[in-house]
Amino acid sequence: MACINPVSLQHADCGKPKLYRSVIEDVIEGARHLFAEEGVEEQVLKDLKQLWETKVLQSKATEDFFRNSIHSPLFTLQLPHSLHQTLQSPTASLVIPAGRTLPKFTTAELGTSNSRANLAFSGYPIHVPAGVTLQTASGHLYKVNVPIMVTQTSGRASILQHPVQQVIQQLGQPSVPQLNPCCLQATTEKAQRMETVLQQPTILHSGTEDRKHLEKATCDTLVPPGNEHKITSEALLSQPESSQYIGLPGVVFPPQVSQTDSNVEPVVSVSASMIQNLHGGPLFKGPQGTRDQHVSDVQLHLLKNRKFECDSVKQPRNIEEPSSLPVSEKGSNSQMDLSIQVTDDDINEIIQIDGTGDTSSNDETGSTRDVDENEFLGIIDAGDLKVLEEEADSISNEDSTTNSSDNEDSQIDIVEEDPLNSGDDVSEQDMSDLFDTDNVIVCQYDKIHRSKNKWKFYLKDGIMCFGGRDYVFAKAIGDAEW
Amino acid sequence: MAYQLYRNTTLGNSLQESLDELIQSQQITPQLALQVLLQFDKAINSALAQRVRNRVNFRGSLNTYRFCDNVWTFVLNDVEFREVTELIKVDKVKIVACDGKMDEKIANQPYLLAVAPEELAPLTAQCSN
Repeated sequence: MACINPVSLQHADCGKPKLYRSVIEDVIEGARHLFAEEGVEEQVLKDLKQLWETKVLQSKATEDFFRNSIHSPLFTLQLPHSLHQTLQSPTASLVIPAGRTLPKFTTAELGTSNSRANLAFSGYPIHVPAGVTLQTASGHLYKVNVPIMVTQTSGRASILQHPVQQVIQQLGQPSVPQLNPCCLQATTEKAQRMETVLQQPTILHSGTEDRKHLEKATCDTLVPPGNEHKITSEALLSQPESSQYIGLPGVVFPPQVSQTDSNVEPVVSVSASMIQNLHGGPLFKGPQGTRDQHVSDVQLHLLKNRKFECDSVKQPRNIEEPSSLPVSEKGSNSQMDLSIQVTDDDINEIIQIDGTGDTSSNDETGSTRDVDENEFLGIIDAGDLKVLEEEADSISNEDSTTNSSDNEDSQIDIVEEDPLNSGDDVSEQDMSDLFDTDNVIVCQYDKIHRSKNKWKFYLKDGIMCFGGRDYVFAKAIGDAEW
Repeated sequence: MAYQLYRNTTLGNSLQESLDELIQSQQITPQLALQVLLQFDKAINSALAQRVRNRVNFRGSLNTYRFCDNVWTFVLNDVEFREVTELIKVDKVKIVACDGKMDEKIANQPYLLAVAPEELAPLTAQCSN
């Protein structure tokens, strides 16, 4: 993944990992007595900490969260040909073994393999011992019974050397979900019953409390041979059904689909960004991004709802006013009018229309316009309420001698601005699209100053997130012109 | 009570997601999760106030502004953020800012006395007696 941050940025960021770590520590310590009060086990607290740290690592927020800041190249793991044949039933599982400081994955050599696994690592050779199970989000399981070695290669489509032929067996239902900071990304070209579930490791199986291990050994899961372990990616958790790609934490995910021969070729992409704490490539970003977007969409939706609620509250009031007027001002004729549906064709003939002559060809338009013109008719059906509200607004905003074309436009499309005033609004979709952005700053303001259209911002204690990357500031001073 | 403003950050969202996972697996109660989030609010507020020291300048064009419930929300376009070491450009940024002066410490300020240093010594001497 192309990283736009120069080295200087990393230096500037080096305080941030410590900040985040200290916050995590403080929160966990503070929550310790809360957990104790509730009678929750200490292990759950540890799980929480692991989950939290893993997610933070996975995000692009702090690229140099770990000591190493090498971008993870992409590896291609080729599974033996026999693997494909044996993968009739979806029970292959590939488990990333636990490594202390270096994620080790060994991939078996396969000359005629149909399936490939793309692994992205931070530059260290990856050793995958036997008994490794890999499960993708789509529910495909791959188990490697033979140790495989993955080494760094150049380019994405490169094939790794595999010392040992690998046999991947199909496994049944994975038993224990293996928590491991590494996520394997697998893609299947064709629909298969193979189930590969990548479970995002969140707990160090080694149980070590050492942060270094946590930082460096994201694939830190010991897998006894023969045991099946599920690795479900975070993406799986968020979008188990839709996405076949599971993002490994901090790994680049090239959307690679290897297709040597016919049949399905599961492509497993593993990115060991654990060391890198990258947010992952476009694929992983997909589910993650959509989830974030979903969250922000939800928030936006809530905002919209609130706004619309406010607006809708106004509407009945606007409608009530005109309806109250006719009752008071009109005599028996209005009473009779009230009883007549506005959309009735007869209304045109019965109701005396004041104001502009009705030249509209649309009876309904005419009738509603009449209503609008007079604002004297009380009985308005649901369909006309909106129109009435629109026109009431337009009348209140404009001259009372609004011509018929305005009404027609508002009736035809209530949302559309009438042509006469269409130039007033600069942009019509401000609220919905404008507030939906990836770049957010949450902070506090000391002072906001405005002079004519020149704004000055004095902000403090802020966290900025630009495209997933996090920055913090104690003070921020800005200028903007509206 | 600290601002819950920082829950919608990478750190805050990842904590909420982790808590949600534990709730899903019924390892903790939602009430406990809420307590943890409150703890997070305190921790992040104090960390930002005490552990962060850098300054940033920015310049751009203001697209929208909103002030509601003492919260400013801005949307700026074509913004450049400048720190000593780096320059970041974004085409759109949303700023959500709570009132920085609404602090409990400040609310209690009327009870603080300003004492000059020369006056302080005799006072402390009296206290020690």
